[in-house]
Amino acid sequence: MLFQLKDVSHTYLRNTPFETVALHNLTLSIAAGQTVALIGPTKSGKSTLVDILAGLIKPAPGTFLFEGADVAAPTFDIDQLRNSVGVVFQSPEAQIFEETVGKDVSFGPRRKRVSLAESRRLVQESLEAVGLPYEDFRTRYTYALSGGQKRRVAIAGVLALQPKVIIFDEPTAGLDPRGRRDLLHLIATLKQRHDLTTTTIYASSSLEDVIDLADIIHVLDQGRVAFSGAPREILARADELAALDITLPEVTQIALALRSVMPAMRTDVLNLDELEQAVYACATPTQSKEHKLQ
Amino acid sequence: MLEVQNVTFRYSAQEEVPPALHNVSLRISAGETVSIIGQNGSGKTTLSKLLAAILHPTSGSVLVDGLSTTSKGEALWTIRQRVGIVFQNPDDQLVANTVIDDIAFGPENLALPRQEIVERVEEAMTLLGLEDYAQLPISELSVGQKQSVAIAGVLAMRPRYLLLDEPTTMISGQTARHLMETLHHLAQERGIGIIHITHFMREVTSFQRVIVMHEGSMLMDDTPAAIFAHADELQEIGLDVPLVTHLGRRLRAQGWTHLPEVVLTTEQLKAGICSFN
Repeated sequence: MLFQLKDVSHTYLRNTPFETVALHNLTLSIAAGQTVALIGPTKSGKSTLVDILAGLIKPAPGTFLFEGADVAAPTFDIDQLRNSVGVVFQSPEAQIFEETVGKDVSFGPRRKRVSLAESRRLVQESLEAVGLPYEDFRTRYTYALSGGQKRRVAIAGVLALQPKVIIFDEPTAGLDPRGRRDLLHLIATLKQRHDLTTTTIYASSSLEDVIDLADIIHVLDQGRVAFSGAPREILARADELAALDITLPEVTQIALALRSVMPAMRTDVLNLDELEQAVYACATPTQSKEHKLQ
Repeated sequence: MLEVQNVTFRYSAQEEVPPALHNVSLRISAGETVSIIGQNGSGKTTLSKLLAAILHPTSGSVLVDGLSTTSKGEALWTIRQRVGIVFQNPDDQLVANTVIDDIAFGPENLALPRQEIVERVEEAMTLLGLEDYAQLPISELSVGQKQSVAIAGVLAMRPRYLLLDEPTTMISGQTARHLMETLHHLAQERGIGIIHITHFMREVTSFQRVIVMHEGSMLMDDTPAAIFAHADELQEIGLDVPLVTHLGRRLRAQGWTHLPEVVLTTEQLKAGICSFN
């Protein structure tokens, strides 16, 4: 197992009037090479979990193992975890700080003191991987990029660190439908491009983005894992998801609404075609046609 | 009435850079609910900033109840009070430490009598369901709650027009639906004109009017049903119709002829299916 969390809790501002429990006895395992979605409404503990996985905060109490090693052990080198996990934060454009694209993407490699030639290779490879041609973008000013391009540069900056795990925190917020589709497509292809040991973790309050992407979805609620499963298994429990204030995919919302007139309507449909077929499985318009003919 | 007359707007003085808005004209009345859709870079946000007098047109004019947004002095204050704007990220417009102080910030700066401020703040909190949060620090709120505080702060200014730039980007399911209901309530009960910019096609079906922006021009301005009859055209410019509209079209083709040609809500879908079974 890549990550193992057992009975992990985290409380912010402990022993103050503003004490907030973010995680409460959370148990979760993530295997190497998986694409994992962490889905939950605001304040479900998603962001705290992301910070723990990235080695930014230490869980207490509870056990957190990274590749079998206890992160809380005095002998554990936290840099080993931090160097393995790259995070693309919500509003990724906020994590760009250099003047030019080339400088920004090379920041990580330069910090790792790789050779100039190696750094250049990593920058080129990372920019090409996110669909920004190296020669064209290397010297561009970061402030003059579009929102979508900034997101790609931020992702390239993380790729240049060659992480074993990439965490995306709400990466599509604020993008139009085409921009959203393009970014999701990019995330899916990154996975195929790198060797299959790259682990992708996708945190979001919306199921829509991860239905086609995730191998396994963990639904978080009030600092715990409410339930886990493959996309179809999760969608079958649409009524429970709706009660948790999770944004359901539009197909699921429609399927769920149709249940009031078609009680047998399935909610584990992944796209419009499946939704259409599920309607036909419940009802046909033929009765009325015959009725009209009589 | 908000009036945009032959407005062109350029961020860059260079002639080779296309304008952000090109010859746009439209009118929006108080009490109307209008959604603006379009790709990133289509001019939606520029248009809303022009309406709020944050930007001035390069050519043409923008009038708020007859007052030009390039006015100075008293007239500009009137415009600022009548047109409220809620940004995408509520953190960009919250200024005080607690909920009640933030909502009171605007009216306090109008130097209103104390009683009037108290009334306005209480009314705004009631409209957004924030009564129980009055004394909470802003830092303790979720994004959805912050969004509500930002809107309450704008409503305490008693605007005639409320502009919202992608207000549901950072909030989820039920919270987003509740916000949409609140907006329609404000239009019906208070006669406030709502101008709502969004990327979500399903959010605009309940609005009276939808404006489609493309590359700085206004491509369509019509009812949701009329707009979403143009599925192919919308897809060509990177937009779409709601999924329920797609499904309705397919079911109609399969013989559910009681469905309207353009289905906008799951209620219409259910009614159209039920009329057979």
